[in-house]
Amino acid sequence: MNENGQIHDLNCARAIRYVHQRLDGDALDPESTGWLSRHLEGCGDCRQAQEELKQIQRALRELTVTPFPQDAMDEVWDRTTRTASRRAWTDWRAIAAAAVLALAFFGIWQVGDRTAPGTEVAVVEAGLSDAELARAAAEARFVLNLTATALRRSERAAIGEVMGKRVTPALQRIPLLMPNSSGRSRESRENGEDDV
Amino acid sequence: MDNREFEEAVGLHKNRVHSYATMMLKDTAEAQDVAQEALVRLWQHRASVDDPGARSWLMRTAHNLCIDRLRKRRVRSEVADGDTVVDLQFDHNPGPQQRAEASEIGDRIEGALTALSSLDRAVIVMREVQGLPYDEIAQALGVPLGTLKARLHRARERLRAQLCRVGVTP
Repeated sequence: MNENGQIHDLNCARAIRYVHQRLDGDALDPESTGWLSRHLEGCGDCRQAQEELKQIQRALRELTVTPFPQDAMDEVWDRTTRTASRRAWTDWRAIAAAAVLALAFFGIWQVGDRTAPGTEVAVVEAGLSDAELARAAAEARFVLNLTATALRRSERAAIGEVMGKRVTPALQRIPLLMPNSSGRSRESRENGEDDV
Repeated sequence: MDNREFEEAVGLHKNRVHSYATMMLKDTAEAQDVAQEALVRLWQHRASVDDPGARSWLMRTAHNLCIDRLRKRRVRSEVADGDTVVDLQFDHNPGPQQRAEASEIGDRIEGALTALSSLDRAVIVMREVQGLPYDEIAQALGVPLGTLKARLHRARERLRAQLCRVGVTP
């Protein structure tokens, strides 16, 4: 073997192969172990090579680990688990907002339905006169129309809140049909046929 | 792999991945980028990565990212220097002052590592520095076990020859 580690002898090549196997942690059979010992006794180059390889292996194992900086780690959390937590929270907020809106629409629809023609049974049972009944119905329509106007104004913002950036212009153009006391759709109200 | 397992895997392997990238690239900023990218990719692929395989998956991803960066670096060197591929990272003929500066054994070894090919360096770092098992290294580098051992033996010899060439031995 020369000074650059180039092997020019078949026996030296075999010896170095065994040395590497030992460095790998592989056990040699007794015959190979004996042969290597005898070769190393008589070959200074291979003995030196074995020693240097062992020292290099020890030195490599002692190289220090470079710790991952905390600010870099924070960026990783921001791009992984923290983003997922924020998305889950946003989804829950959207679901909650949708539930509130659904309850509001259902409540208004229920109230409006009770004041519609054909639901006089409860009113008659309450013992109201025709005049009182007419005035109550007018007041109820007034309140319902005020509510419907307020809801109509906040409708776009409400949808945006529920759907976030997923609302497309096409979706925004779809009219939100909302039953009211007069039973008319949003288009008829928007055409200036407002009761209020 | 669920969120908790992901966080555990990151805690266990982040320094290993970062150290590997640092030794491969010898550039702090690039090593950080690679480590971050590998960890984020593990998150993106967590559904298909099982907990015991996370380390191997991370090392393979980090290795591939490092190789990509080294290739780009090489292309940039070629563009900057005509058709000649220049080794910007290692002085093969250091003067006395440079030898004195590289007095620490770790510096000497790391300096010699940078002169190896990227695959030789990867094998040495994964096996000798990080002590990963052979099968995991073979998986990370995409080579058969026998090929890996042969390459490791060659890489050790080249590292020793490199250290002899620059006039330092451990």
